[in-house]
Amino acid sequence: MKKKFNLILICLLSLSFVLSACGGKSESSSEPAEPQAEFKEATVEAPDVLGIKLTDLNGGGTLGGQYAGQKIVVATRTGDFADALKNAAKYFEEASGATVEVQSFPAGNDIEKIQLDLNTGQQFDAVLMPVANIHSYAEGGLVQDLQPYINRIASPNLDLEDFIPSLLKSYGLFQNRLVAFPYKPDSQLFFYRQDLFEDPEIQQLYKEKTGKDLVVPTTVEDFLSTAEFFSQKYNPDSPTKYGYSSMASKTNSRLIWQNRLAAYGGKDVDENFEPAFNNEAGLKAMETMLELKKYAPSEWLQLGWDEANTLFANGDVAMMEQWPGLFSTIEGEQSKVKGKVGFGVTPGGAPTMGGWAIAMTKSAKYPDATYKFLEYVTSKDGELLKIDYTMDPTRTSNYDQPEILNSSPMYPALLDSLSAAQILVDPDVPYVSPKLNDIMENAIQGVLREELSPQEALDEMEENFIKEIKAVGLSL
Amino acid sequence: MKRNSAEKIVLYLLLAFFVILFLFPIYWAITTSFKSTGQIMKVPPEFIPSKWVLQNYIEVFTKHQIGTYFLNSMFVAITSTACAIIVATFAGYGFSRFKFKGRAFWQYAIIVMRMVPGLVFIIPYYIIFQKLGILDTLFTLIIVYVTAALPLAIWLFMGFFDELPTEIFEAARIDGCNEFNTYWRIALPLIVPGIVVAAILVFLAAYNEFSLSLVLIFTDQNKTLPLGISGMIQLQKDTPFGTLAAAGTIAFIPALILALTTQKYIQAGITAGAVKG
Repeated sequence: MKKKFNLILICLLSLSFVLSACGGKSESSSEPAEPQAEFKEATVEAPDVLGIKLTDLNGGGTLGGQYAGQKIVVATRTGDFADALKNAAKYFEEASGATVEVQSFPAGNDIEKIQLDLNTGQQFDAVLMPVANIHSYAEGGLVQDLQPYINRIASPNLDLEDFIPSLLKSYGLFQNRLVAFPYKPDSQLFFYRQDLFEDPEIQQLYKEKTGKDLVVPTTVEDFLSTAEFFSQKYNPDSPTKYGYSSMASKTNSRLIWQNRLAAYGGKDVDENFEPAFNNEAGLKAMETMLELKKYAPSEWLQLGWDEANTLFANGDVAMMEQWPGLFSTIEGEQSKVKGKVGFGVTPGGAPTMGGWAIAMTKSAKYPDATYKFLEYVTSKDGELLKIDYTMDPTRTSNYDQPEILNSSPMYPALLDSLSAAQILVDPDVPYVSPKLNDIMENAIQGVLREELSPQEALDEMEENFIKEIKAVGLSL
Repeated sequence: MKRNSAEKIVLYLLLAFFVILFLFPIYWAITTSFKSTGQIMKVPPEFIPSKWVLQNYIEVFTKHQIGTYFLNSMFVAITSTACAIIVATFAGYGFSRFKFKGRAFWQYAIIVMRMVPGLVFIIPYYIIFQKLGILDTLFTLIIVYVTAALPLAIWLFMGFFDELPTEIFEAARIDGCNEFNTYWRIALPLIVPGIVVAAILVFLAAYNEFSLSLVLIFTDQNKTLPLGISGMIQLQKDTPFGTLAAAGTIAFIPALILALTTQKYIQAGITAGAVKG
């Protein structure tokens, strides 16, 4: 019923969204908003984060309480996203004088709700959303270009080059316009049983069986051979039941293919929104996926977030590709692999990227104050306020601080993965990104269920991609 | 005699089976709400918690504002029920007692509204309330829930009033009762079981409604239980089974109270209006 509701709502919203986009893009307004209160020097203090003293919580001295009387409404997803914003908002309010209201909506319904408001009600001044959605809004003229504000009122400490370059490019830029600041970085990570990889007996056994040294796989070839070695189906001496696992249920399975697509030199779509996967890279990524199936759990196609993570935390799996959130399961009280897991970049070296960005809507009532809030929560010190809410840093300088880098054993791998990531989990095609996800999922599921050959799946995906992209007038 | 005993045994076995079938999920939710994460994920599962913890309840009240959501839901559901029942009993009485031009047309016009899928109204509602400046208020929810409940409630009450013998109304008229007093003092007390059933239907529909509240409500202080509970689930994070079970148990309390206190009316109400004399 909920799915049906979402489907109908998405259809209605997509129609209104496309129509609104056809109506032309509104000019972004970077005019100062009234009333502006008097500038007063302000010192804002927050508790240390991981032992780091936060010294720049007054917007590089540009806030000074001068936004008093202005209210900003920020929309996002319920949970950590909203909690992180609310936490930072306290300090921003103190420094700027503005009031921030964070409105949040349940996962699975937030996208429709926010899109509905952007198209009709226009209550929101800023939105924190997945990157593909932000870019759709940018294409539809629903969010503003941030550059005019940077030129006029940016903090002297803004330092755009400090953002991890791939994040600023993939999250922030859309058609060469800066439409958002990166907020939550996300990338597929490679989780492996470090205790097993470092066990001399297992290393010896691996050498005997394969003639090679047991190393954490970085290439697809090594990945497949270690996965085979750690599968009891192919190696009864394996300490784990399965060599490899991930989420292969519908809505998640495309990641298994995407994680290899870029590694083989492919892309989902090119800069002209033309499909760029029906080639040797796409085919090899499909074949690798089928190889991995041999070493995955028998119930692989039913594994969603909880199931896949539980299997890994139970010690049944040697290697897994998953989002960073798996870390909390590994460290959980029921985990049998706590302290035994290593982290790396997905084999092939081109993981799939997720991620969230924060943008200003075209209807922001107080654009200057809204811009300052965006800048504040993504600033060097401001973004450390969100670390406790599972929002990892997006800036290189923060990863360079030993307190941050050593705070999670996952961070070095995350930083490497974010730097290496090339493909977004949701194709960066405005308006139709969710539909393209469905197309990919259907095709991948067809291959995994052996109802389609890899080539048939690629042909079907390409045909449907072109149809959907042309339907909204984006393809050349 | 033997046959009767065998029938009884089969009957009781069937009853026991269905009781377990219906009550086990409730039992499971309640016991899960008192388990720690470790106990919840334990294999084989603990059918009776080895240790009872209140952590999930503390969390739903401190971290998730379940108290606010609960009060909002109760306020919206009770107010919607009261409004819908008042209007529907008047309308049902009018349609049942008075013959007027266009009566059949208006009766069917009302029920046709019930046949339009509710989702169709979502965007118009949103735009109308936005223009009126009353988005994100509990008042908007009450308006839409009353509107949605009225067609069915009116038709139910038409059936209940039709069932009353005309002699009662004639006697009331002879005794000098005016039309309002006949409605208020004579007809209404006779359809109390029907009112209870209609009220339960309206109450539960408003109490459980999700789609419209999702679109019309924005801030935490105005969220209702379905919206609030739904927000506890986060993607890319382990499902918080314990807190969800605790929230579900709290949400279940009004339904339990309703079932226990209105039991005697329900059967009479369900059958009332089913057969027209």
